[in-house]
Amino acid sequence: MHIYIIKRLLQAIPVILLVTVITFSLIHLMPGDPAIMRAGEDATLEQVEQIREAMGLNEPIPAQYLNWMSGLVRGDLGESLQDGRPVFTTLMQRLPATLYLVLASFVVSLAIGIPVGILSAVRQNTFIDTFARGFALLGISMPSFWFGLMLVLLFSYRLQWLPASGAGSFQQLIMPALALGMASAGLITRMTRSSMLEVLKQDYIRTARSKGLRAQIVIYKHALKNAMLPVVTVIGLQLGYRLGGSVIVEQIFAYPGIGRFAYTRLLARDFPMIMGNLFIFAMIFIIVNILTDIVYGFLEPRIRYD
Amino acid sequence: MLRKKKLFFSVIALLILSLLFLTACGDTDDNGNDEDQAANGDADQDNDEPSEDARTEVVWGAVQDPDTLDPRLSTSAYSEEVSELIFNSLIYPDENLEMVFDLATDMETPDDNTYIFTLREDVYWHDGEKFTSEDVVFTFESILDEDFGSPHLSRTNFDAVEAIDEYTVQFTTEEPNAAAWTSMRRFIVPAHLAPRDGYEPDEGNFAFNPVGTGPFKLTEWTPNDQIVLERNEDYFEGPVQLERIIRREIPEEETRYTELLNGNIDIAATPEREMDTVEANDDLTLMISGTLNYFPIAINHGIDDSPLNDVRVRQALNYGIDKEAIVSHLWPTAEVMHNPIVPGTWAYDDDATYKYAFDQDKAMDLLDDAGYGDGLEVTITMSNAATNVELGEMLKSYYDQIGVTLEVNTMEFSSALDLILDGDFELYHMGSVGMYDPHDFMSRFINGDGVTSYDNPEFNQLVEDAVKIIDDQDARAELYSEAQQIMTEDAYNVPMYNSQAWMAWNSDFNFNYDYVIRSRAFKDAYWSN
Repeated sequence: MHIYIIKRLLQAIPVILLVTVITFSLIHLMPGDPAIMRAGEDATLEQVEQIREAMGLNEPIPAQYLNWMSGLVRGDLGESLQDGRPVFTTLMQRLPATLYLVLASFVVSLAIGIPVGILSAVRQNTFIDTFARGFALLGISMPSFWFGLMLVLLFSYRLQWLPASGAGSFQQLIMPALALGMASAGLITRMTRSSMLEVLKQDYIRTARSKGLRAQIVIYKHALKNAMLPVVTVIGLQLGYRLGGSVIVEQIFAYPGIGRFAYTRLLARDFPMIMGNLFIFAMIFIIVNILTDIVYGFLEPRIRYD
Repeated sequence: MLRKKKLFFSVIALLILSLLFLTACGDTDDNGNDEDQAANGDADQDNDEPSEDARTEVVWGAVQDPDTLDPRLSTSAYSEEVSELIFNSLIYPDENLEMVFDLATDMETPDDNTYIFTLREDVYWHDGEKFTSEDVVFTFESILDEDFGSPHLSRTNFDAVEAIDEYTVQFTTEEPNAAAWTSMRRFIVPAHLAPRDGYEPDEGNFAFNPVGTGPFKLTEWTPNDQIVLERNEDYFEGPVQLERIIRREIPEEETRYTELLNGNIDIAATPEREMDTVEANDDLTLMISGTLNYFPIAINHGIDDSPLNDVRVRQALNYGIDKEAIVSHLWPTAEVMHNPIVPGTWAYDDDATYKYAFDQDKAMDLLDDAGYGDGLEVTITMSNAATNVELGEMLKSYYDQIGVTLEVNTMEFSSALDLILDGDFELYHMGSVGMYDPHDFMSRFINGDGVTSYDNPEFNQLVEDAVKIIDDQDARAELYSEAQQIMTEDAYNVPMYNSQAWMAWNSDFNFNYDYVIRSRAFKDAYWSN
């Protein structure tokens, strides 16, 4: 098992390298740079050139990449071109808020998705099932920015129950978590339902039933555990989407997380900050994937790590 | 039968779900009980002095974070509105665009090229150091230094700065320059703390730990979240009434508006389409102010063999669209503009300005004359802001009617700006903001130096002569009148509009909003209860 984890971590190195090369090139290929943003809309070209020179943007891109890489190897992600702040420290200030939000959104989507999915499978083709499937479809199809604004409209504007922005209190977490969690709640509902239906048809379930076990035990002990495998895969993959989705949700609720920060720095073309951000996102993604694989082992002892 | 039943239940389920959302969207009764409460321009007329237990803290809902708080390195309005509270300048323009002394007490102009400022001697930096002429010279020398990379450099209208003694500073210009003062209004930073090299990472800290002389000190800045400013007890004009300003970044305007209505923030810019509702709301005070912003559809004059080099084509582009209709639809508070000088300012001359009425027949005749009777293709480059996308649609349909095929090229702001500054465009739409002196905007169209490469010898001469007239505003205005006539008749671009700015706040808060004064107004602000 340890060997497996080490192996996976080593395999991650070329992946990270590739990610950095691709993102670095993409960032420098897109039009616009921090010098232009600083110079403002009626600057002269010379002015922009001077600022570029001062920022060190006139060096060839491969040289800039190597420069960045050599910093990375020493554990230094560089400094922002916008305000001179160290990238790593700034990102670490903001990451916890986003992780907290993502975690809360998982609680939302699991708390909704799994029970509704089970209910929907057990009561297949009933009103409950139809309702659950409609709900799942709606959850998946609703864009989070729209759903977020609707939440603001209902709970902040009309009812005045919840604050519409900021972070720090539990009340401030509810709406962003709902907005972010809804899409995967729908997805998890559907995954749980179809996976449960699959499992419920298996012979061992029929055996369990015929032994005279109570329905609850059959469903929760025998069926659910086996039905969870595909759901875990989805949850792992969803984390990546969550980090992406957090950009929009954090924007709507003025939530001070890393997603909104990444977005504003992308618009400002703060290259070192964007690179640092993408690097950390990539790392999280890789780690979560490894963790997902490890969780498989607990759910399905037949899976071997060698 | 079974299928029908399923369908029935699906429909019911969907209906229930959509009900959930409709209750959210449903209109409750408007609290607009039509009391015709005019925009309270007189916020401080009903001002009873602040009561003993009045609040001393204000929560300000802002649109965006400052990009940096080293004022030498930013032209962003979001940086400036915070810098105005932390820093001071020698002089600044008041709401009538007249110069007011701040860190200076007096200015002498012994000749047309020299400006001598006498500084206040009772000013201390937030860290207790004394403010002297050294700080002023340091600030402007770094701005003038090419290697420093200040965006203010190309907007600087003087050539040298030196200290005469501890409290006297002298600016000199090579040529007489009537607009020199606009670049002397920069915020002064402390020589003992601010970095001399704009991008030295170790020293970069000043940009987010700024130390100024202003009425407030920065005590906390969590990027993209909040900035906390505490009162400077040793402010040279005496401590202000507010003890603390919390500036929260809330980018989404609906969220910001909701927070204002709920009282979670006290002051914010409200959505433009909610203007009437805000005005009718007794709990809020709304104030609208004119701006110095100009939003044209600019024309590139620097492309060889372009149809745009033909004045008739440019005129046709002006006649071909209904500017009133476009502006009132997209920017309801804005005014249509006909030349870059903001109406109401001293240099604007309504009689000299040629105003293109909406006349598509004339536009088509002009295109015919120019040899483009059977069509013409033009591209417009702009940022992908929602209003721009809509603008593109409207322009496209107007121009279609006169046989001009408009290709609308919208992209993210930074990319659009890149293309525009590179001169890689035919038409573009983007604003020019904060133009205090007519030279600020006229100089963008001379000698082909500006982004649009406009170069008209007669016009160049007028603008260059005007800026050399130091003491006679009327004589200057006369030259600008002529220049306005030339540029508008020459259809140098398609002027669109002058925007308005506004702010709404809790009616118990005594505040005055003006676009030029902006957050300096927090100095005199206080709570009634």
